[in-house]
Amino acid sequence: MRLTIAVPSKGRLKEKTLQAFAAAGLEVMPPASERSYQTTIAGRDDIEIAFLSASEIARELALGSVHLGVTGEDLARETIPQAENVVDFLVPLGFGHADVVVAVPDAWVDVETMSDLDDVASVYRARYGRRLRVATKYWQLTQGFFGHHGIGVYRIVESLGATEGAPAAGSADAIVDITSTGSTIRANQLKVLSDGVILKSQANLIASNRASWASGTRATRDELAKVLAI
Amino acid sequence: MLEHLTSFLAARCSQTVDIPILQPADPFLESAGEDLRRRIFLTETIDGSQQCLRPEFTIPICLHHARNRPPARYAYGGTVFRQTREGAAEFEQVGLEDLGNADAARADADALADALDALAECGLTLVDVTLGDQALFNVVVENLALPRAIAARLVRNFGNPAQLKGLIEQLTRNGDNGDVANGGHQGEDGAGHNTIEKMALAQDAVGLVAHIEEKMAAAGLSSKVGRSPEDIARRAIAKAAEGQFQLEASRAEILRGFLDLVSPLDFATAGLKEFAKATGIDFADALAAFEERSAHLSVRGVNVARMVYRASFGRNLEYYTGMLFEASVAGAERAVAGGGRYDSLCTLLGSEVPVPAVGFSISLDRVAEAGGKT
Repeated sequence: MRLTIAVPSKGRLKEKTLQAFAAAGLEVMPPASERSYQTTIAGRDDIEIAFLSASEIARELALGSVHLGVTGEDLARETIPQAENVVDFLVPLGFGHADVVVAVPDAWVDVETMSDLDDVASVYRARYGRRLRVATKYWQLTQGFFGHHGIGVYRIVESLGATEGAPAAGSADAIVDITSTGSTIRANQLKVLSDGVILKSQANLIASNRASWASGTRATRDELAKVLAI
Repeated sequence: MLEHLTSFLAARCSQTVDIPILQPADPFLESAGEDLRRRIFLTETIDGSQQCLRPEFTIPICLHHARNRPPARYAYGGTVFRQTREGAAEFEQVGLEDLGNADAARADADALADALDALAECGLTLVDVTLGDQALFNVVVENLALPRAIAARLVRNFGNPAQLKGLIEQLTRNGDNGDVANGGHQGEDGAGHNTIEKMALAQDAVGLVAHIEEKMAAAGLSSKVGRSPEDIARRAIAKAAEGQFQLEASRAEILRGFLDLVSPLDFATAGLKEFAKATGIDFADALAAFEERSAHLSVRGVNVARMVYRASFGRNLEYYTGMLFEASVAGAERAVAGGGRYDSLCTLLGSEVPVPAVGFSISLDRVAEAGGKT
């Protein structure tokens, strides 16, 4: 049985992944045709490569339809409920760094910690007639983190892009978003709470516990984890 | 059994109420919080509004009551829908809500006694009850004359013993190493932060408002929507004053001592009086109400000796205001019934007048687990 690895199909994440594989002596062959999303690794009949979008990779890992995948820890934890039971984060790959953070308007000079945000959220309804709104595309991570800090009374506003602009647009009060350098957040006059880093994410080689690990695939997995570890 | 119990409770109520299975999701998310979202079955209608499968009855009954005003006891029974990690997603529930009854002590006792009677109908007669009271904790906190935001934070965390313990611990450490909130500013201009802190400590509201207005203008934030510069300045000043606050050992001990109280309900009033005497806490009306409720429970024939008062027992949902209880059967993992007083819920749902409210629900799958008839 062949072991299937899902690899990002475009952008920097694809480039970096192929580089990391090459550095480990795994040369990903160009697909047979431009339309094809499947290929192999030179000299390795036991491995199949599937090019997928980063969020699809998380979904396929959750389903167990691929053995391994390369995607951001943020996407995996967001997309897969109870990720720690479903997948193993085998190897952090040293690229695709992004922090998932809680940020509020810089003008909120009184809010520096999650505990401040809790205080503010608790009076929102009484004072402004509605809950504190948090714009994000990271529903799961936000709920988990806010719950961990004892914050229950707020509303998540779904954001499908340009989350950092939500406070200025008036559609949210605070945001949960990814940042790598913090410059976008600062440019939007927002600030990250001092204990508001939900996750320090990077691209990971991830294994699905739901895939079928028969006939030698497990050994291949261990071998790949070893050679990809930096 | 669902029908039998529903009519059993209906016989003790003035109203039965028909709650549709499909409900607007907003009232649930708005009052119970975002955390509920992952436990309910949400769907979207063609016009984009969010609907959900009825996850419970209390909120719809309160909404129904708001259109119907005069005090009433409502009985209900039916299927509720919740996502769980394992097993079924639909459960049968029966229960009762007593809305608008100003005699809180009696209404509390009746709700609890009716819950136990209903469990007895299922053959569960040896039921252990844990009882807590949010109002007593609120009074203890009030007595300690703490800064407002700190008192509010304690009250808000009642019912979450671990969180509360951590918070008390943290408050006793405050001030030991300066302002805890001052660490961890990455990449921000320290000077600006210092200026703000100085202004806040000097209670310079005018200066702060000007500074905040500038920041809001730079960010394109409207000062008319959400938090205003004045609100932010006011809280910054209050926080600066509280930053100096340290909960000294004696007051921390009072809080911990209260939260550690556990006793059979028939000794609880005496225990609380003793605690009041030892600590100087004045429970005033809250203890009188507690005593009166216990007396009514005895009148209703409830075996008070089988009930345990646990001072730390509660639910940290902001709308619970008084008694809370949970009924369980020895050997069964999950409580078979639970309920309490939630005087803030109707207001939260938009009622212009406060509505005293108490109620309970019984989960029939748990009754079955505990060996009861369903």
